Amino acid sequence: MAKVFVVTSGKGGVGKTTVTANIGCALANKGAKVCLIDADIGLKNLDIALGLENRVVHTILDVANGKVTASEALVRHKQIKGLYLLAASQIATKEMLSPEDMKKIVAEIYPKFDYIIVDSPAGIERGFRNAIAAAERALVVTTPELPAITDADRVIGLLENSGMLESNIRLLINRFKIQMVKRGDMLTREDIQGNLAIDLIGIIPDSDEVIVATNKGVPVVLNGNGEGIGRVFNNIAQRIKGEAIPVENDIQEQGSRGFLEFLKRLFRRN
Amino acid sequence: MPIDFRMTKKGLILLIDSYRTVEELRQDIMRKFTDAKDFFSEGDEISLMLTQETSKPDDIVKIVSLLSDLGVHVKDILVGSMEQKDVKVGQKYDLVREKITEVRGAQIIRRNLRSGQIVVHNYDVVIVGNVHPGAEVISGGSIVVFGTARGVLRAGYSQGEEGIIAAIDLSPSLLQIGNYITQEYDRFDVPSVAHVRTGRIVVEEADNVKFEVKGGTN
Repeated sequence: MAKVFVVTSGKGGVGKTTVTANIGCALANKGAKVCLIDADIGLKNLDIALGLENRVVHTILDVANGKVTASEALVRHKQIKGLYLLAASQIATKEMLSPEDMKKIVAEIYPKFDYIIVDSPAGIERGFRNAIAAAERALVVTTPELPAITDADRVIGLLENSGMLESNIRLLINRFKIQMVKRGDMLTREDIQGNLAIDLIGIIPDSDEVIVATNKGVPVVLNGNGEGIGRVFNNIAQRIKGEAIPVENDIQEQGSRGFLEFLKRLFRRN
Repeated sequence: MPIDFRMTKKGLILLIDSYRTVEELRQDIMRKFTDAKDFFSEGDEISLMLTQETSKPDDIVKIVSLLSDLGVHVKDILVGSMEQKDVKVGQKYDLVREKITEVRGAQIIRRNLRSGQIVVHNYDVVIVGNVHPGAEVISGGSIVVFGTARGVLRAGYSQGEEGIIAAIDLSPSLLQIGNYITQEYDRFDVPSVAHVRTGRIVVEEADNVKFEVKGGTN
């Protein structure tokens, strides 16, 4: 029996796809069976973030149209055992899939996985409604900027209207700039939580590693030795599994590391 | 079908699924009512159901007054998604708001109102929670917020300037009482109350409110 999550945000470009790919990898790395579903039909990216773009044969639309079964359309990840992708079609539009199709597809693979994570497109139109149709829980991704936060608030409201409990919705702050917050130039975690009044599941510090990893098609969790940003995604994965790891861990370790590096750089220069 | 009647356990519901302009909607509604003329009698109550697309606060007021011109009292206004058209509308109630009661008094909302969410009630509204930016409350009487109010608060749609707006932290993006609207008002760190005095909206600390004394009473 799977837990079905949707990763959504309202605003585009806050990192939904990267978050989906990395949390999926982190969960699968811990031995869970994970299926990622790309609901961004027509603007698919999840396969690229996972490095699977050349292995996709069937898409979610083939499943919806009854050409193949959902299990046949799944693409297995090259390195990680237990991680599967149901890719979106690039040549179709979001209107070609309905929320009912999504529910049927998820119901078919539901018994085979521990976690099913749906990557939602930006916006609150059809694509969004498709993505949330089958989800019981949601991760709402936001960045520490007001436009992203107001959009996140709107999306949380829409999730509630669709019948999701507030207690099943979690907030994920992405691209958090620790140094800027310390200088007082950026919204703090408390500001954001005060604005949204929703439980936090993790804070992902801003990092160049992520960009490099995404372009390589290797999620940052797999890159390196569990240090740096990969640690944060592992923390979040553990929280999803129900372990209580304080959210402070996400930024503290990164923060002290950043400071050390800053000192090193300072001495090197002299 | 842009508009339609549905009969549910809670009474008759008028669905408004889509419309282009209020005028067009008005004609649609008129047509519907003439078709079912014998069905209604003066003072009948119906509920109005809007989708998220058709719930435009300015228009809601017009629609309600149109219906009351037709002699039908709008008991409640629901906002929800109409995707599952064939499903009993009864299920929609809890998606939309806490619980739709047929009580004519105040409505108590026990949660945060988020951006894009709207509460419309003919009588007083009490919100135990926050009103986030982008959310809207339209009340026939007064509005009380036990929390932070940052959205749009419109009071006194039926009571007029008798309505008041009170909140623990009162800093909405727009305040309306009856026909008075303001976006510039005094903000306090303590619970405060907005009311109409000498023809304009004033905001005062809750400890220190001086309501306008109407002629006739002491």
